Amino acid sequence: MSDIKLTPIDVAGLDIFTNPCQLRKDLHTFIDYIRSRQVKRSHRNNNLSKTDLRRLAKLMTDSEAQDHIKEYGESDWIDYIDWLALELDFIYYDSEGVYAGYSSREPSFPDNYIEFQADNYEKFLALSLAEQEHWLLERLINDGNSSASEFFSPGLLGRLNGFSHWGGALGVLPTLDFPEARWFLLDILNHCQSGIWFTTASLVQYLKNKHPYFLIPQKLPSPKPDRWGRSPAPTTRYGNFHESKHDWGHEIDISESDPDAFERVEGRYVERFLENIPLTLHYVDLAYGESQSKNLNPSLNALCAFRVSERFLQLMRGKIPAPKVTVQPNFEIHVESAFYPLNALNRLGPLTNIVAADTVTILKLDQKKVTTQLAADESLDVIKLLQDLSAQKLPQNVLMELEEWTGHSDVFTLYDGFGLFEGNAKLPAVTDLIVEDITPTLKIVRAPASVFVRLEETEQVPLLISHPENGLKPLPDKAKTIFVKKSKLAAKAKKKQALVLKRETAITLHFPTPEILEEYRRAMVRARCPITVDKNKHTLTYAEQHQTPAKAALKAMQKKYRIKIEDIV
Amino acid sequence: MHTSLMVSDMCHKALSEADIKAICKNRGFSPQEATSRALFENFLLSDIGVEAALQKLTQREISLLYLLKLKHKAVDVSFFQPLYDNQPGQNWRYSTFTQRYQKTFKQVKQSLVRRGILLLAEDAGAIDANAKMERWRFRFPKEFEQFLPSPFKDTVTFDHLGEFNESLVRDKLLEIVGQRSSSSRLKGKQYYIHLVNGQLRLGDKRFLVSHLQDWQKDEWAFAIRESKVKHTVSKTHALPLLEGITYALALLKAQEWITPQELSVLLKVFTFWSLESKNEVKLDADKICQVGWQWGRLIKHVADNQVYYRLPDNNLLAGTDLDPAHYLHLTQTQTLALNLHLIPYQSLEYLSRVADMKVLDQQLEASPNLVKMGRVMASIQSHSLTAWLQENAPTFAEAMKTINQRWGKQIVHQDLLIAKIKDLSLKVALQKAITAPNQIIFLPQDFIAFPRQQLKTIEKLVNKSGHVIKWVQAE
Repeated sequence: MSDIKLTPIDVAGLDIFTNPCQLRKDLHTFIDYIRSRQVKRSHRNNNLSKTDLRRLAKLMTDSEAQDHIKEYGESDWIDYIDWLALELDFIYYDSEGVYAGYSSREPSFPDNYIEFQADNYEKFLALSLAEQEHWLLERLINDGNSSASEFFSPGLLGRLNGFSHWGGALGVLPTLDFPEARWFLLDILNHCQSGIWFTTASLVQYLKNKHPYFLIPQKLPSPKPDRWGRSPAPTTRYGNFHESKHDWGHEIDISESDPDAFERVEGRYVERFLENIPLTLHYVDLAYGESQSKNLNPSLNALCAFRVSERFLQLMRGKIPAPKVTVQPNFEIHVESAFYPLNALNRLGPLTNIVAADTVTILKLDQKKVTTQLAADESLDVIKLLQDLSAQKLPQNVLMELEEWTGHSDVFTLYDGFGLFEGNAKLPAVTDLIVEDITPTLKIVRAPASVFVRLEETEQVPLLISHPENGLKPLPDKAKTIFVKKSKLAAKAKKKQALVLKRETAITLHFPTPEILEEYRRAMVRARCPITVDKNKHTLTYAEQHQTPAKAALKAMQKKYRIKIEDIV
Repeated sequence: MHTSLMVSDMCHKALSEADIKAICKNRGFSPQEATSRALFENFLLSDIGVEAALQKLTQREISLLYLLKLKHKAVDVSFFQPLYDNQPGQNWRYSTFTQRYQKTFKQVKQSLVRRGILLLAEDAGAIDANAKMERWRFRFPKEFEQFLPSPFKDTVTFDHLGEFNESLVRDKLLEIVGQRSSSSRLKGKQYYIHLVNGQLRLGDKRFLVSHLQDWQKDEWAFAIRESKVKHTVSKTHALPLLEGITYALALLKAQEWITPQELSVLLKVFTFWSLESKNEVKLDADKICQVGWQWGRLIKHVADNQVYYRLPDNNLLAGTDLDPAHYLHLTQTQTLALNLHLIPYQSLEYLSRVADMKVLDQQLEASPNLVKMGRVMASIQSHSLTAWLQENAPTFAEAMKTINQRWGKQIVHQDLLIAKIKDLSLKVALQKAITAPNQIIFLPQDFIAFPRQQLKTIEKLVNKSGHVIKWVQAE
């Protein structure tokens, strides 16, 4: 294939499209989401619930997902990620359903919880970056279903329409080996120079000249007789493909003898292939123009040009560089990688905050996170981890700070699920269950109930104190203990408890009519004085400390009324 | 709904001005006490006028309030329907909830709410109730319970202990020594009294007097069923028959007795017995009480050819003041032999808690068990039988001496959290933040122990001081 000579093109004036989403990152974000909670799929149509979709949309790189969910109640991107996770066996859920009754026309999916397949995912994480990418690519390419092929199903991010499914179950179509054709086309792309736009037409022309049977073989398989033994009509090369002046019509046949038959069938396939797997996986960028057949469906040569990315060539040539990790003196960690550096990010994620995520992912070490991780995992050595990942030496200040953070992690050690033993710790019933010595007669022990049973069996007459959640239980007075005893606690309880009561005096004015009340209320509001008004009883109440504005408001009303205040006894 | 919430809702929303005036009149509130709804709310649960208001109720209304008292919760309007609307119309079955209970609601409001003795509020949280009528809740406040007049019209006072039939229960005890109880009607192993590894058991439970009383109740219920007395009640708010009898008889004052006929009046309200039906099914209170007496659940007294009943004051808990020498004696092997015909049930329970038991030649014998004694040491110290055993049973005395020497010296604490603090300032912060003596204990070597409730507070303090908690979880 070294003889491939494609025509370069200036894409000015064309509509250039680059995949804005990050499939690999979103896939792992999705898995993280599923593993951290119980996700139940809908009973009727086996979709993710709207609540989960909304939450996921906030985490995904597809900026339109949230709007799509708001408008249509679904997101194609999240559905695709969900499907891909299932295809890759990272998750499992029932995708066939059960028929609830004899007359059910659709299957139901009762209690269909998504199960995280930890083993498969761990296996995937253990692979190198190149192996992970191949795993992903193989699963996508090896889908041999002809009805879901590029001919009929538009790419997730694509714009081109497909052929009509009409007559697709017969003829040459079911016999085609789509995975092989896809691998072949990827191989062709592997021989293109990265970063240069080539016309799609030149690629189709090259295929027509050199590999006309890359998709549909030269020798067509003879059709099998039907169940009554009748031989169907002989298979024609393009019998499955029809054009139409309407959407999804099929009135115009394509004949093998037509001079442009290859462009109209295989050519269309190449266009649709490019905007499917290669575009989704960021292997190509595309440039669209006007369809060559304006009033004819499907569109023809609307995908005018394509450009192969460097990361695709690195993958195909097995030269994917390892992620480059650099720790900066300002505690930032720069991770540079053409592909999503899952393993590095998985290891650094719990210790850092994300500052930026692109080809270079920028993370920042966080003291709280580092100490939390150190407290949770005693075997974790953050300095060694960073040294292993980083291509360069760690900055001195970062080293020193990390050492100090390590010391912070065991300031407060909490023993949960253990018990305390007070007494003769040399008794054989206790010795092998001691976890920590506090004093010679006070020990932290594991399985306190077992310690008690053993002591009972040896007739030591032990006391088992089960402390309730809301307070430590006082012990009997005769017990030999450092815990609080009943009599002491009772004596403490007898002491009078200090009680501070805060007092506030309020003044209520009773008005003879609602109109006068309203006048006074307005005056008080103007004075910004907090008041409570009961319109049914014509009363207005204010706190004593607001007497000054209240008096001023009354004084203002004295211009109109002769006011006399009487206290209610 | 909580009482305070109901009172607030009732005073501010549910009651009209006319309702408040009626309550003020019936309870005798002064105009000042009803100046505002907020003031009125404060006085509603006071004891002003409650006694007088309750005295005006009918016997059936009082009985129903006793049932409401027992339930100790808010009920909907259907609870009162058998009392106020016992002949619902023909279309009752096809009516809406509101149509069904409109009449009852009016009556309850008139007779109980407006008298100021029943709380009424709308339960906004009743999400499955569509109609407002379904959301109304009524509650008899706890504060008024002490003023409820006696539910009985006709009681008799006798200074007499009454006749207690213990024979069937004693008969049951003989099962221990292999004599199958001839009186017991309940078959199966639920109440089979036997020994397992020295432990006396009643069915699959440890022998307790309370379990023996459960057996009595079940035998009583079984005997009633066997004698074909109608006993089932299916109404939502009704009490089961035997529960109703026990509750009714418990309302009698000391030395008060009643006839089965008098009991049946109250019982009919408690069980909603045919209150709705025109063709009243006869409640055979005579038979039920007679069977109850047979099984030792009731005591009876006959005077002037009339039988009176009440609950036994002593029942199976009596007899612990009897000299243990009457029912316990030392054998040649220094074990204690128990006389099952005389031993008080409480003493048998006591011995089963501290001793291993065995049957030798149809004789139940007990020997001390240090483990069992250690477990119940605190509760048996002051028991009269303990003193007797120390004086008269050398093996028990020896065991108790050992227990006294060892008790309280080996202590195992569980269900608490323990932590080690390396930072002094954090330790000081904890000392200042948690001062209650039973909320934290500072142990030597920078350790602390605290109840689980304090974890959140401590977690906050640790985080605030810039540290994290290092968890060590038990396997």
